[in-house]
Amino acid sequence: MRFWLLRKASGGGASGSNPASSGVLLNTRRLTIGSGPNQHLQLTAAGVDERHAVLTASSLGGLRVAAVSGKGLGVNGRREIRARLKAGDVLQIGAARLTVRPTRSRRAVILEVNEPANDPPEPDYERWDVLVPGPRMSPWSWALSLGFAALFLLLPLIGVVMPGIQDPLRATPLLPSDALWSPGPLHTAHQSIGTRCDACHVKAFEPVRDHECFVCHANVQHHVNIRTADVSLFHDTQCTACHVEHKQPAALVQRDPRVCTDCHADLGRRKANTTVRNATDFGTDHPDFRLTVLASMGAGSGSGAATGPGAGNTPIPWKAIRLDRDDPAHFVEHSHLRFSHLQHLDPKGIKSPTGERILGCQDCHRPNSSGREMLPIRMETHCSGCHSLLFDEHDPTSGVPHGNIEAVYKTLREHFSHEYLVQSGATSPAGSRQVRRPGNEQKTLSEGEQRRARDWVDTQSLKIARELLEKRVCADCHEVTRDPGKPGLEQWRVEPVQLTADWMPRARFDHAAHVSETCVSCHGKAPESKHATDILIPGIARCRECHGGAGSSAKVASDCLMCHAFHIPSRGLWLRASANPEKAAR
Amino acid sequence: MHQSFVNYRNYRYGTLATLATVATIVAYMVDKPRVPPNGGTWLGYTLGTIAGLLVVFLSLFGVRKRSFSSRIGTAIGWLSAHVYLGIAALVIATLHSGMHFGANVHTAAYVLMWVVTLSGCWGVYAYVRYPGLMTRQRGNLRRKELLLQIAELDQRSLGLAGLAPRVEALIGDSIRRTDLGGPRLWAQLRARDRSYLMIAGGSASQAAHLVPNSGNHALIEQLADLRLAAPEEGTRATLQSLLECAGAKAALLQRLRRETKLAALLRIWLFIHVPVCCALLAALFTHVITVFLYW
Repeated sequence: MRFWLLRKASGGGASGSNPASSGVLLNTRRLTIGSGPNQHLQLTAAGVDERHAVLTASSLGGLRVAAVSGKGLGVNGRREIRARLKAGDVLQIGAARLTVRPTRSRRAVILEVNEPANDPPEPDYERWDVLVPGPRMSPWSWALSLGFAALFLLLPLIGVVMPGIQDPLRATPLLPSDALWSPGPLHTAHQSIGTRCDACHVKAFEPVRDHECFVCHANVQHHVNIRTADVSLFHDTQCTACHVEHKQPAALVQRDPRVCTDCHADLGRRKANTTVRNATDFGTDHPDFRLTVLASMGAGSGSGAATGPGAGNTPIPWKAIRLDRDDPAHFVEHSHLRFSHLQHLDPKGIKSPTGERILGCQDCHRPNSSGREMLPIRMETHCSGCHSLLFDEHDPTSGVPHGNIEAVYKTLREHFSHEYLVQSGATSPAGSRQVRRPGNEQKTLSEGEQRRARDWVDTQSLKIARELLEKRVCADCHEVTRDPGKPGLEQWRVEPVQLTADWMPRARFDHAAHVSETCVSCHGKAPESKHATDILIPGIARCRECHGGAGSSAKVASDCLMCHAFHIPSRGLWLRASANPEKAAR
Repeated sequence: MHQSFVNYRNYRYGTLATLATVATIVAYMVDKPRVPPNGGTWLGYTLGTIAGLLVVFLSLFGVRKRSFSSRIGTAIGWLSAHVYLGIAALVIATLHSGMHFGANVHTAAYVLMWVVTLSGCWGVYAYVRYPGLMTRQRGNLRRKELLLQIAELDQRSLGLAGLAPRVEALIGDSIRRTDLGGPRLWAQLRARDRSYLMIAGGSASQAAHLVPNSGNHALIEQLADLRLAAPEEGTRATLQSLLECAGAKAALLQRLRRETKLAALLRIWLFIHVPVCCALLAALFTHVITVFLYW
């Protein structure tokens, strides 16, 4: 397609020698019109955009014009965006006028271009002198700042005020809710709260209160007995003093030692009569462990052993007492057992029913299913394999029961009664057989024979009982005291036995966490211990070989909470203590 | 030494900002809060307050800059303080955060602060480096003088072009289709020579071609061809002069375009710095309100 462009300067331009007036021939289907340098028809007249319009000629002779610029164009005096053109039509583009001239060829378009005189022809360099300012900043500034505030402050805030809007905001992904205000994640234990910020943040511009914690944690125990005056020391203590949320890394308890040492560095300052010793750091400033052992409080039922069923009717009063390592005279356990670890752990072995047997710690000391604590030692489980309770070594049926001295005596009497009868039956003459009458069995023996039998049985039973209680079997393991002033069996008392199960009830020790150690690496004195009174629990020095203070970098960093808990069982509910009016008033 | 915003009053604000930064870093390292370092410890609140006030103060520079009659300090002093304290504010805000980041409004404010500070640093670089480069591009001439020189070259070429209609058409068209880069920022930054040239056909029945004329290459080619074909010495000399004009103009345009590009670079960072700073102010407000709303 050919376009003939005929330029005609109008309005009496000074330069009549405009060279373009002779016309230009262009081979194109699309003729671009505008003021830009790359337009086929470059118009310099006022009101012409850089790219203003496009003329499209089809091979069938149709001619269309379309405005590219928003300014549009005029077609025969009408404003148009696009139009079909025919010969004689006049296009108005800015101040320039284009006339479609009639032509005989379908493949050619003749355009007569009338531009107001615009000499000189060079571009208006002056307009480049001042740099054109770029886009305006203030609309962007307003849009960004107001947009941010509306999206991330106002919209969630509307949700806070109007719960009807809040739920859909929180439930719909990508919609801004108050979840965007959360400065950090919740601990996994609290994740069920989800995006319900108001579960804890009840009052605006006020810190979270304990009350919201108690909704779920009503049964949390106190640190001190809530029935004592000590509870007043905690009236200023909020849950959030230790339990801080939205921090990274998320933690249920903030383990900073100062939470404890604020008081425990100098507890006497807060509680004058305290027996708790001060501590600030496990590695450098912590007292040696005071062990809690059970001590029997004197007379119980004179004849009972404490362990096992069927012990005396009166329960033995045991009291937990605390022992100081720096008081060696009293640093003993009175379990009333006789036991030598040295003897039992003899590397050459110890006599057993199956011959010499080499025992190890684990033959008696077994962990419970969690591995954290040790199962209690039981005579039946751990001792009876070797320590038989036979009073007649040649008679395997001659065992006495364990744990009840009266039952022992009864067994002995039964045994000797039987023996007496067997022996008397064997010795009576065959012809002198007496006829037994129904309902009169006890009369089988004569009065005299019965008395003789009782005396013999009592003597034999007491003799064996004495032997068992004073020389072997019972006396092997038990402390037995004798009061010669009392008659018969009552003269002996097997001292009650109670092995300490929890040496440090105020601290936690986890055997399972220490499996990489051997037993004797901590309980080192065990293989040499000759007496059951020896305490084989290691002192703090042994722990400190591996454990340093909270800030230790060379050893296992051990803060207070590694061994101690703040909420101590059976101290009473924190909720109840804090329900005190003084606190509620604040 | 020439006093710029960099060394204003012997680095007064540089020293102040460095001292403030070092002091806060030391405080951060010395402080051992009970919870992991965060904006809610006493040091966190302190640093947050300082950083927040700094951001507000830094934003006031935009106000001070526009009030030419203001007597509150000198403009250059304000700029110096703005630059140095702005960088210090980012460090202090980082320490205030305790390196706790997440998908929330607080981190959004922090990210905006980075965008503002980085765009500001780009601005500092531009202000230190580009004015000198621009002067060099203009050959120590003012922009207007360069434009006048181009206009003179055009006039001279037009005067010489009268020797043949074809030459006159070429020169006239090349002048009309000279492109200095559009008024749009993007065009200024690209600095591409989008000049064109309409080359008429050899005869009236032959079609003309519209060809790119970057660096006046197409014009120079046409003039050189004409000069080779010219039979007379006088015509060749005139065409030689026209060639020289075309070359000189191309060189001047190149300088002008590069200078325009530098001028655009000198401004463009502001289109990020200022609107994002406004967003930052909104984010800061949101941050402070929401932190205490859900205390």
